[in-house]
Amino acid sequence: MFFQFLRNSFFAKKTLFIMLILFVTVSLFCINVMFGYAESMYYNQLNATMYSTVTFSNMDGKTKAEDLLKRAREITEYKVGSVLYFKELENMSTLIGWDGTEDTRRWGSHIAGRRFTNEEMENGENVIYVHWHDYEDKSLSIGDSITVDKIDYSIIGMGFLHSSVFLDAVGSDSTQTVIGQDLAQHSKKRQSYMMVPYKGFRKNGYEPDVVLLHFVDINHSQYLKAYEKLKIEFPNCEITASNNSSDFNRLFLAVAWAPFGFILAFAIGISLANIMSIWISEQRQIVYVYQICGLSKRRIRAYSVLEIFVISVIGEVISLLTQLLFKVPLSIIFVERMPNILEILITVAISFVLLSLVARKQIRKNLIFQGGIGE
Amino acid sequence: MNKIICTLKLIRMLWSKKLVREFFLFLELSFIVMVTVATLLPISNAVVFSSGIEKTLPDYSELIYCSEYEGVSKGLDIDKLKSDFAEKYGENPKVYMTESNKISLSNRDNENKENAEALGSIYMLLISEDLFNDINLKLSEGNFKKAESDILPVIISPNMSSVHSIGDKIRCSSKDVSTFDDGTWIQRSDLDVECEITGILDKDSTVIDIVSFPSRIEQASLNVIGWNIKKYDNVGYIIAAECDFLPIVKKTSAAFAFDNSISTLSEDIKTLNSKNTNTYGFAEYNGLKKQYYHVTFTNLRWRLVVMVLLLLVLFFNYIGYLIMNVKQKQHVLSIMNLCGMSLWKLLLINIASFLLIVIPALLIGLWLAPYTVHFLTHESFYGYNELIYFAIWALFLISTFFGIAAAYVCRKSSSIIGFYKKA
Repeated sequence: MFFQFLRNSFFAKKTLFIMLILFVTVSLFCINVMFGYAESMYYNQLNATMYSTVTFSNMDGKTKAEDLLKRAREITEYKVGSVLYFKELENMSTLIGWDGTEDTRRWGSHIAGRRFTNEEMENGENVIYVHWHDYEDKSLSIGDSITVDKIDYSIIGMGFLHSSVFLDAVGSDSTQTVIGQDLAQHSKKRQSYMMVPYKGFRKNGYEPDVVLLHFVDINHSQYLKAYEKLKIEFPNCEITASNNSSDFNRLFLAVAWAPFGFILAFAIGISLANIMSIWISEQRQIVYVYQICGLSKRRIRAYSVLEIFVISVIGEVISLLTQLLFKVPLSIIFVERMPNILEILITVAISFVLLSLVARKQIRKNLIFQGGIGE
Repeated sequence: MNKIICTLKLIRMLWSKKLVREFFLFLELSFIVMVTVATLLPISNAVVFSSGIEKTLPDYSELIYCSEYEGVSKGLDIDKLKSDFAEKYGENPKVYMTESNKISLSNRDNENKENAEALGSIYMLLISEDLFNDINLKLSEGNFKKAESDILPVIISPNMSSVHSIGDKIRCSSKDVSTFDDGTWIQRSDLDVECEITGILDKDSTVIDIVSFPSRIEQASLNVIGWNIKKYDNVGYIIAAECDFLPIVKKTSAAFAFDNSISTLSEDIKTLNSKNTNTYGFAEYNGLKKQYYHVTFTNLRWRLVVMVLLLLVLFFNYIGYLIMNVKQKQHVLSIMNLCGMSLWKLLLINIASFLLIVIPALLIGLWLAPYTVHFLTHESFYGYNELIYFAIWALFLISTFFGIAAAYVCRKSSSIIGFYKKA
């Protein structure tokens, strides 16, 4: 009976119904896109090292010799952005073997010069990226040579390689003491970090004391899964997860951006209310016929409510499909992701409530039940 | 006369009884224009800017930009780079270089050195000889010359034209240390030169200024080789060609211009950057252009998303309005038709009643857009171009077509007599 009711009301005035669905779809599209934008922002921030880095310390000889970038990809099947192999040298100096494809700026701002080229990474060349203060204190210049642990390197760039950035990524449970010596000892002397290509690091015979492994494009629950897998795979070393959870960020971003979508949906509400008004007035005759045929008012109300729910769902489905269809143009305006399930449910619920309110107002205005034949 | 008045009355009849509705339509249409202009701003500014550079530098086929990494400050070996390119491509490239100095301005001339009056600080942009020969700066008055005596001919920015005019002599001086736009310093002997104003730059011109890129060569965009003066219309500056007594000394960046096109340029740039990048990097013009589009989009970020959606909402609101409007007019039009008015005349007055709101709304929207764009985007507006006009008209025509088509389909099943009876 309900489906017949739906069929009659939807197909009686096809064009009007299409217009109504179109306007509902546009309203929901605005909300979905803003949720998608919040989700994209979340995933951008998610790639911050403080949210998705795993720390390896107290490693056995086998783990020290592992190519952890390759192994972590195989074990977890998630994308690894970078792996930093820390080797403690003398006099609070730390050499970092850099491996990965992500921008080194994830680990500190870049100031001058450049990062490693693919050739340098592949050939393990003796090139070095230094911390800004070393560059300044030792009056170094890009292109100059520097000797670190009796090995000559050519300086290619400089940036901020600071203990606090690395420590943010290390979980508080970690017992490692290599990173952040200057902060732990309240030393006036800064710990000096220098970065070299991973293959060069290995070629020169270094073995890491601590490793930071950074996953990208994964959310907090996926990160915890990856961490558990790594713990099982490497039982003979200490593996710790970061204490920072990105879940709150996700909620915060959704709350921050979704209101724009709702405001825009309200802005289209005037036209939507007008079309709804015409649609409801056209429905009047159908409702009269149902009433004459003996369908109770309660049932008609229930059917009308269900009908609005179906319109909301259809609108949401079409708007999501449209968002998928326009994925590429939307990515130009930084909407790279779809809203998550919870956000989709919230959108449908809000759409249903608002449409019900508009319909209620229009039904009262059109006096379908008051003074009609059924009364 | 009576016929015209009658027609106007009929047109007025077709407006809804509540004039507020028509007023809202008017506001909405104006707002559509403003939001369209603001939404298209990243693209239109990039189009205006890149075409400005191409018009100012029309005489080359390929341009290779080269710059030292920030913090290096060793200076480019221009002659070596030039000979390397000549050897590789069989063509001696022209070298475009500029140097910007903050200088003090005074009205002291060579004869009257005692009673000098300070006129404030401005920027002096020195351009290389090759650049002077090829540059096609848009001037509102005068011309751009090279120095032939010890007086340096200069052209001034439009905002200086209220104080100075062509033929005025000014004195430009600076201390021995110059600070550049990118924050680097250079030691240069005292700059103290007498200048004669020979031209005034046009407000729509694009200035070529080859500067160092901020961090990574891949991030360098078109603004390393020029800028649209609307972005800096409050800044005072003069432009002069380098000469024997005032050569360019800061050689941290340059653009090499080739007359012939180079098919392998993109690949060559990659190779150059992977081999010679200890202290400097290279970029091709098209790469800079692409990056500029990316940067202009990135600058707007969330504003762009909101504006695109707002435009979509306004677009559909307009369609919704048209549907309602056509539906409301059906009764009146049916009666007019029954009273003997031809369908053509009905159509004519219908369109006229509509255009009487739409055309002023579009014009006012276009007039107000440059003022509101900054509020919506926090970006400078480089002016209208074909892209914006096309987008506005396309949007307007498409939405009108959709609205009327939808309304027509809605009323297709109803007859005119039927509406008359209902009325």
